Amino acid sequence: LRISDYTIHIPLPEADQALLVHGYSGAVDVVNQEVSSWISSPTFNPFPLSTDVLDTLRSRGYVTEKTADEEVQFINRLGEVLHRGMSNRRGFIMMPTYNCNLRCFYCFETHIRSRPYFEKVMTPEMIDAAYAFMDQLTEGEKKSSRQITIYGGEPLMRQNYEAVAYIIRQGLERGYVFKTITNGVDLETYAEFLGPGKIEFLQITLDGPPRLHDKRRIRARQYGPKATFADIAQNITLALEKGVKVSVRTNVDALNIDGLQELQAIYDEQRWREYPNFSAYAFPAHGKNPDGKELYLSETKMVDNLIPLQAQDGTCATCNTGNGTEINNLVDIGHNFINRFKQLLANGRYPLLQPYYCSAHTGMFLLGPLGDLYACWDHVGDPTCQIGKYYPEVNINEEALAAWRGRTTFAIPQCRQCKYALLCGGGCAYQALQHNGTLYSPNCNNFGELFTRFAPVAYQEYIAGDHSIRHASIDAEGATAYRQ
Amino acid sequence: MEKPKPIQSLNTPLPQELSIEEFEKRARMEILEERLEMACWINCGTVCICVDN
Repeated sequence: LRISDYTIHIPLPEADQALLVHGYSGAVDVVNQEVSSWISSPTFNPFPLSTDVLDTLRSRGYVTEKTADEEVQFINRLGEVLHRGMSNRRGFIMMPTYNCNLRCFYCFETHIRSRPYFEKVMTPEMIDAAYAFMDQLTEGEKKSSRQITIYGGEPLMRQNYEAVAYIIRQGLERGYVFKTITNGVDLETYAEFLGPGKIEFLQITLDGPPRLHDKRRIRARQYGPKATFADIAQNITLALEKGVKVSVRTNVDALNIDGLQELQAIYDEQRWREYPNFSAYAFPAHGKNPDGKELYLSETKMVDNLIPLQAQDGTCATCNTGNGTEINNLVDIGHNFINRFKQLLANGRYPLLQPYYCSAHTGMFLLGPLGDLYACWDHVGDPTCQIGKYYPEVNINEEALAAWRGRTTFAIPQCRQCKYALLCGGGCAYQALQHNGTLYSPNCNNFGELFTRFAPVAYQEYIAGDHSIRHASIDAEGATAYRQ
Repeated sequence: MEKPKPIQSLNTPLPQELSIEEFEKRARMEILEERLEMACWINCGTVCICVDN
C-alpha cells in the first residue's frame, strides 16, 4: 500500500482539519489533524490509525495498491472514456464578419485587419449553407435546447444588419435561441431581436469608468467619435429592460485594474444591479503597451488585487447582483475553482471529472464569414488554423480537426501524471500553443495553487448550505478576454 | 460535544473496485447524460456557450 500520487491534501485554515481531494476518483473528504498528519508523512508498518480509517482511505482512492505506472494507466483510460462520451456534443458559433467598429489596443484579432477579407460579411447563401451544416451534425438531436452564439469581429455593427437579421430569423425557425458577444456600440439597431426566445444573452465589455474605457475601447475613425462608453451604457440599459441577460465583462490589465471600484459605483448609478438579469465580472487581458511592455496580470495577481477591494466595502467590481457572494465572483477570473470544487460534491452523483479543457476538444464549431470553420475561438480568421470549410461545400480537414479534438490530458505527456489532470483539463490550448509552440503541451496557469486556495472557501460555502453553482458570465476559456 | 470523525466523506467517488470497462458500462449514462448541463458548464469555467445546454 502507498499514498496515491493523485491525492490532493489541503489544510483548512483556522481548523485542525484538512480537505482531501482525489484526482481520479473525485472523492472529497474532511479529515482530522491525526489523519492529516499521517497523510503528510505516512507509515504503513505499523499503521498508526484504526483499520476503519485505512479502509476508508483506500476505498476513496487516497491509499492504493496500484503502482505509479498503474495509476497513470488507469487515469488515462478513464480520461478516454470520459472524453469519448462528451465528444458527440455539438456547439455552434456563427461569425457574420471579422470586421469591427472598434480599435482596442489589446485585441487579439488585430492581425485580421490587414487581410483582404476583413470587411467581408456572410451572404444569405453562406448562412443557408451554415444551417445546412449544423442540421447535418445535429440530425436526430432534440431541438428544445438549441442555441447559437453570434460572435466576430463585432457581429452587431449596424452595417451587418441584413446578415444578422437573416441568421436570427433562420435560426428561430429551426428552434435556436441566441447568445451574442458584442461591444454593444450599435446594439440599439438590433432592438427587435432582444429578449427571451430571441437574443437571450449578451456579453458586453466595459473596461472601467469613462476616463479609462474611452482610452481603451475606441471607435475606428470612420465609425464616429472615439468615445464609446456612453453609447454602450445606454444600450446595456436597453437590453436589461428587454429582459436580456447581460454580462458585463471588464478586460483587466495593469492599466485599468485601479478603476474597478469606480466602475462598480457606475453600476450602482445606472441602477443596473437592481436588474436580476445583470451580472459583471473581470478577466485578465493579454495586452501590451506601445513600447511592448506586457500589461497582463495573472489570475493570481488579479485575485490578490480584487480581494482588498471586496474587503473595503463588502463588495467588489466583479459582483453579481442578487444572490452571489462576492468571493465567488472573484473566481470568475479564469477557472471557476469554487464551482469546480462544488461539482465534485453533487449529491448522489459521481463527481464531475474532465480530461479536456474546453469544447474545442469535443464538439465546438465556429463558422466564419468566408465559409471557414475553426475549432477554437482564438484562431478564427487565420487560414492556417482552419479545420475546414462549410461553404461553398463542406470539406473537413480531418487531420487538423483530429489535432484539436484529440487534445486531452492523456495526450499531453506532462499532464498524464498530474494530480489535477481531470480537474484542470490541461488548460487553454491557444495559450499552450502561444507559450510552448505546440497544442499538446499544458497551460497550467497556476491551477494547483488557485484550486488549493479556493477549495477551503468552497467548502465553507458548502457546509453553510450554499451548494449553488453560479453561472455568472458568458465566456469560453478566456478567449474573449482581449477580444471585445 | 461529540468528537468529530477522523474522516467525513462529502461525496460518492468513482468506485475504485470497478474496471474501466465496467465503469464505462455502469457510469456512462449517469455521467454523460444526467450531468450534461454541468459538464457543459465546466467546459469553460463560466456559463456554457460552447455547447448547447
